[in-house]
Amino acid sequence: MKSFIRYSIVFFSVLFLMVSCKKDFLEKNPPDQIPDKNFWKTQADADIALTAIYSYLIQGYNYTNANNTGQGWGAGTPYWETLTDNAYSGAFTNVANGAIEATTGTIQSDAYNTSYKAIQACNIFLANIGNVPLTTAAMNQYIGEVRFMRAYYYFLLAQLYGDVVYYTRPIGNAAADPESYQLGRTPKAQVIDSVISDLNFAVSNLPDNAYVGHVVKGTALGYLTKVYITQGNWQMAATTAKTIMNSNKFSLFTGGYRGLFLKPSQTNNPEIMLSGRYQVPNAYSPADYLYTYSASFQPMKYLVDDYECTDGLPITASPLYNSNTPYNNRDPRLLATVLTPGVLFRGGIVFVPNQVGANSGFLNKKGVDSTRATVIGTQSDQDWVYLRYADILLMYAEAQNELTGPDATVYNAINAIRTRPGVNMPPLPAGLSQADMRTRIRHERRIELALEGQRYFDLKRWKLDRTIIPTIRDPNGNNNRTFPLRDTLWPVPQSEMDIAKTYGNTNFKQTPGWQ
Amino acid sequence: MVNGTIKDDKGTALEGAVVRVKGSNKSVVADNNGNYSIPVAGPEAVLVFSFVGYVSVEETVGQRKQIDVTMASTGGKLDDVVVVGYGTQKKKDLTGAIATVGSAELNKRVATDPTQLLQGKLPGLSLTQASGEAGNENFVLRIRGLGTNSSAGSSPLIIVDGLPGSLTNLDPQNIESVTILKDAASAAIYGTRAANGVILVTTKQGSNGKFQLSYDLNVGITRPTALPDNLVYNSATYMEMWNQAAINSNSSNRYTQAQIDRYINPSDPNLYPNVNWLDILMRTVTTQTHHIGMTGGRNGTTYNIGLGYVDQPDIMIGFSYKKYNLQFNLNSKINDWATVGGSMTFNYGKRLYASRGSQDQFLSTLSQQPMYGPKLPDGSGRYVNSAYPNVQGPNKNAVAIAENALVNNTDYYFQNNVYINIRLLKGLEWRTSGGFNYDFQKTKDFKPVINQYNWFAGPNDAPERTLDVNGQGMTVTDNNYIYPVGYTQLTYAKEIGYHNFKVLAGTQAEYNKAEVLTGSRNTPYSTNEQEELIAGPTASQLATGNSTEWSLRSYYGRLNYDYDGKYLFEANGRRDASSRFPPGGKWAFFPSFSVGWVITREKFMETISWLNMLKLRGSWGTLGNQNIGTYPYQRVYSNLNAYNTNIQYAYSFSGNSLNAGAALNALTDETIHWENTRVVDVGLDVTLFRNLNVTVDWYDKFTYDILAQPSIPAYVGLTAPTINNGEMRNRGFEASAQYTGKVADVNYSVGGTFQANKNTLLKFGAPQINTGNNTINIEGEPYGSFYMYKFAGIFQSTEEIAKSPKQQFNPKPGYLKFEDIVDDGVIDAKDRVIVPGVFPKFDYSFNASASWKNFDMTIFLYGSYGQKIYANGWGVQPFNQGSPPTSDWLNAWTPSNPSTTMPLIYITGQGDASSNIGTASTFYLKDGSFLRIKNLQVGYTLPASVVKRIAMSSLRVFASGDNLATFTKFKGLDPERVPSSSNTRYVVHPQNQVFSFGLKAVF
Repeated sequence: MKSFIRYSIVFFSVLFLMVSCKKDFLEKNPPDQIPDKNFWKTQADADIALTAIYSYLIQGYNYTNANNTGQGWGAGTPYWETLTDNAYSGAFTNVANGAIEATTGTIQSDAYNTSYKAIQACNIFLANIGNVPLTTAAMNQYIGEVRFMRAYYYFLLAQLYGDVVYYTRPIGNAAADPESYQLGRTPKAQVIDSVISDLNFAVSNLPDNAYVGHVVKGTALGYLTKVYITQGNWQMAATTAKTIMNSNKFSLFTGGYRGLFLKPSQTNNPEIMLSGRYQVPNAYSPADYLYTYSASFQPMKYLVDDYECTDGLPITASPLYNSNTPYNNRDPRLLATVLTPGVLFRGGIVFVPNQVGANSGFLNKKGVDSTRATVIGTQSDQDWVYLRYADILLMYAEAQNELTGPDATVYNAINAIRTRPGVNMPPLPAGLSQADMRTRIRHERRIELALEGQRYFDLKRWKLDRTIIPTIRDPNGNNNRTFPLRDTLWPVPQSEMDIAKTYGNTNFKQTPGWQ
Repeated sequence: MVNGTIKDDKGTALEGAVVRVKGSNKSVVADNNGNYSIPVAGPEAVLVFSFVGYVSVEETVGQRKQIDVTMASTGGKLDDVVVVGYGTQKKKDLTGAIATVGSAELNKRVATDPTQLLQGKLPGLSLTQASGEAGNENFVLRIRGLGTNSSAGSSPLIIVDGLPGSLTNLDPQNIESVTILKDAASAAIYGTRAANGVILVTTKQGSNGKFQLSYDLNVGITRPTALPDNLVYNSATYMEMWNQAAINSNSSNRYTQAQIDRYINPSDPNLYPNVNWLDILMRTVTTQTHHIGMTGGRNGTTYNIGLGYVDQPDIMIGFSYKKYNLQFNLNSKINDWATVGGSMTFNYGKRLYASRGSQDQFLSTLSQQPMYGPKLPDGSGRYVNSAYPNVQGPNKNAVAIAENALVNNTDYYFQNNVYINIRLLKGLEWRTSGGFNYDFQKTKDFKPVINQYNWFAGPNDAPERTLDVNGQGMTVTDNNYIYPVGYTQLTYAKEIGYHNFKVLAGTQAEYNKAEVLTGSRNTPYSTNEQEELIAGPTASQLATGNSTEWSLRSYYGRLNYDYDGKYLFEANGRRDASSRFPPGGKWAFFPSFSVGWVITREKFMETISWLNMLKLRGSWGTLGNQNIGTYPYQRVYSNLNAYNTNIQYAYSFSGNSLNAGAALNALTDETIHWENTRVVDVGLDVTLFRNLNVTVDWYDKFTYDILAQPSIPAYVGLTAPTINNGEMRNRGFEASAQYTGKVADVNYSVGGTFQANKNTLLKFGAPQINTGNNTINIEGEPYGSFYMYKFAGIFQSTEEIAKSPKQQFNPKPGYLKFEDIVDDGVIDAKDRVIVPGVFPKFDYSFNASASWKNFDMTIFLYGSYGQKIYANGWGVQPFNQGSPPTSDWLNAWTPSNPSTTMPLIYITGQGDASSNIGTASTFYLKDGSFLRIKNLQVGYTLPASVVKRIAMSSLRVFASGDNLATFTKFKGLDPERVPSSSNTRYVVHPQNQVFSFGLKAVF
């Protein structure tokens, strides 16, 4: 019986241990994440929340999939050009070919989804930043950066989808916040007004410095110019661009055109005004893999043929052009932008288009480091340039030409781009008419900003998409592209319509033409 | 006084059989002639005859003075003790829906993973082997259908020797029994995670007696069950077909006639070959399993030790799996009232595999063309990329992967438990058990730089590209988890006259902590020789790690009551708390009730002599599910700082150093609670003519408050919260029958199982269309039903196209025609239809075994009916990344061959022809029903007189075949695969056909 008692004591203690072990035995919280209630206490919290908002500059469609890395976003931004006469990709063919549907997906839904992720993050930030003890100036700078970002994404949405759901406070669960699930689409004009108001706040509260990673006053002014020029508000566009030009915080990069898009010269580059910044190995760019490993992205001959010869004449007119050596004597920006046959790439391999299935005959070179051997997953560090001073000059020239015709400031702006070191193209001939100058500016925009993701939006605002796109034939010999007029505004994802229905949201309607 | 003789059904006297007067403590034992004599009180007295291994018999005395009894052998059936939750029960007293299988039955087949052996053995359990890949079979276990659509999952809970554990990590020879608990009544005692049923596994214990050494050997010759045999691997034919396809696909990439002519009359057959790539990738291998068993015991201490070794090269080159297993079980009776014991499993596994998996290796191989082999014809050993890259480049060279770029995974797994059992009073027992599982896995993924050349490359030519090895550099990942569990419980059994009571009460606590640590260097190494992290370039190095924890606390209880073994009642209850729920929702109570009525024990049934046993069972109960994400309700800011995870919030403002970022990425619901499953079960157990046992069950399993993420508008910009929302129903029917008999010297047994289940999604919210796998989740249909266009024939003429509804992709004659379901003259997304067949209508199996003298034989067939397979891509669509078409495409539509079954030939991914023909439609939905001879085994046990001479006590040799034959309409590859909702590709690693030879020696 003695041993019985002994055993019993042992086992009652076991039982006691099991039943009474720590009171928080059932309280488990994620050790790698910060509870909501402990956040928004210090400036460090504001900094890491702000960082997350910036990170959307390099997140996008399928960006972690080695086979599709970030098409349309960050270093994948050139994919927007596949919707134009500049490039071809199998990735977004139905959008490019005028066969968009509400169910198409890829860029058609991703532009929507990713933008709203960033917008909600901005709204959460703005709703909570007041809890962090900060000086008014510091507070306003945070708010300015975040309102800039919110404006950036709403502007993208409005350009693509027209009227969009617009909200400025965080959305909660359907049970707690039912009215947010009954939102309709705010008219585009109203969205643009809000975008302008956000940008104006940023202009007033951001430091007037050069860009080194955070958006600055000039960045906000630059996007304000973009919004105005997209609206056709030439006066405001020209004035705003002029403000940037007069600030002397930015200038054209004189170290070579190609250097704008490669890492060593991107740090403290005076021309860059906004970029998606990459860093190996934590936040690497897919660029070198994306543009050389396969022929997923191919610049088209239409673009290549549009580069002038070094005498400033088009290839159809220049005596310097020889169709046997078509890439000689050309605007140096051609070989800095497009990988042509016979040029070394992937760390020293000769580019033979057939061998990589590049039916167009070309691959992208802008922002691609040809000295890097590429395999799937190659990590690149080049920043993706979203806004640079050359764009400001081009926008100024465009707006001023529309306002007053080709005055000296228009010539100065555009010739500054053409004649800068490393480009050295002849200045535009004097005495151009306003219409001729318009054509020249549009041509210069295409060449200067080629494959930077601008042309789709440019064609849209010039209303040239409907005339140019149907003349394009994809390089693999398929049918001509088409551009039904309704494509000027995209449908929102079909799932968005289906979901609205289940919440009984009758305010939310499909884009006109897609109902 | 009553007397008589007790004999078995062969007429042999049963010496030692016990005769007892029911309700008293009077009993006598039969003598060596089986005779007994016992005093009784009166005619109403009942005599109970019992003997180990025989069915007990009860006789009411009445006016009789002599009662002769014939007792039937249980054949290991009726009086069997069945393992149930936290205890055991006599099978005859069961009221819940339980199925069980013993070691002998299980080990009739030979497998490296014991999970495989359960297929078709347990009605109610459906087991699909996702692939035959060595060490990565990915068994999908479902008890009574897909229980829920939540991330909680539908996999049953596996309990090994009383504690949660792993079945895969056991050696099949060490398993004593496997039981599945299917209904709420039997499973509710495991309330927490029993919603998908429970699989109880016990390992072999030693028994008192002489030390016994045994050795099992099995050598299996393994090859694929099925491979496509009609791919065009004739180079000239391939190229000609390509050119036709290129015309149809409007592609300018063609082979020239001169190129084709090289292969028609090759000047150098080595340079212009006809390579069958499947012959290169697939192989026949020899699998070995060894098992040494040591068992015995004396003076109340018993032990069982098993040592196992499995060497399993894969049928696909490069892949392999090896495992070493140690099992040690010990039980010791300390004294009259205390027993201690425990079991320990250690498993070491080593697996080699391609980092993108076997399916990728398979499809990469299928994308290769017959005009070249894996290595250059010049004998330099360089790997090939392609022969004519300007026409079509293939996927990666799978041989180069298999020979250079395999992931090396080592797994150390421990599963231990100890217990002490104390009899406090007569009938009152106290059992405490505790143990832990610990798993450590190290995965080393070295990504070498391998150049690939053109087939015709000269010695100095540059490579065409480097091999895609899924990244670069090297990644080493350590995963480990520790999972301690303990319970303590009291059981009390009491008989009061005809009333039998058994009560159980206990408490259990569980804790799990998983940790991962990953280090990598992400740029190419300077050589391929140093496969360690330290040798790589430091600039690209990354380290990451994390840990997660969860815990459970439970109180459980059970009451069994029966009246005279005739009316049975059982109640279970479990109160559970989980760390995964917010404070208000942590606790939940899961009750269940079941009743049984053994009709044959009623007086009025006594006259029916052919009906030996008839039991009606019914049960009702609820079960819980908490196995969702570890932290589903916490509102947190996530800081995911590595790019190669799904979301990252880090950003580099300077471009040189990284800034940490954090964001809310999900809405949360802080009021969530347990997901519930309510199961109603009605069943019948029958024994007829002594030798025929039949069990039938009908059930209705209703899951509600499913923890799922509702669809929310994308403009919310956050992931949807996990909320209690959604309902699903599984209704079904299961039956099994087994007949055991004897004709002359032949003992035989035949039987079968049948199970049918119907899944219906009752409440879901907005229908969810998954374009990735062509399925839809919509209320009123099975979860993940097929959803696609309906194939309506092949366009034969432009007139037919003109008068048909407007189809997408500018159809031409030879294209597919789809049905205009909504009849609006246009084929678009609205014309997709729900097609049944995502789940099988029913599964079935047959078994038969016979023994004659020293020979024995068993055969086992398994079938599945009504499941459709959506199979597309490589091997089905022609020239997908250049993949050779099947010879069916020789009969493709052409104007002169107006086929109605094969459209025109095209290049997959090119132009309208591909868009049209590749449209997800019923054209690709194939009947996946099959019946296969899973196993056939013939054995011979050597006569004792012979084996004695070689110092053995028994020796059996056998030959066995697995997956010997398959009857199916599905062409090419194996129809036994996971549902198409998770895989739309035709290519999956095939199952294995195994011819094995083995022996079992006992010394």
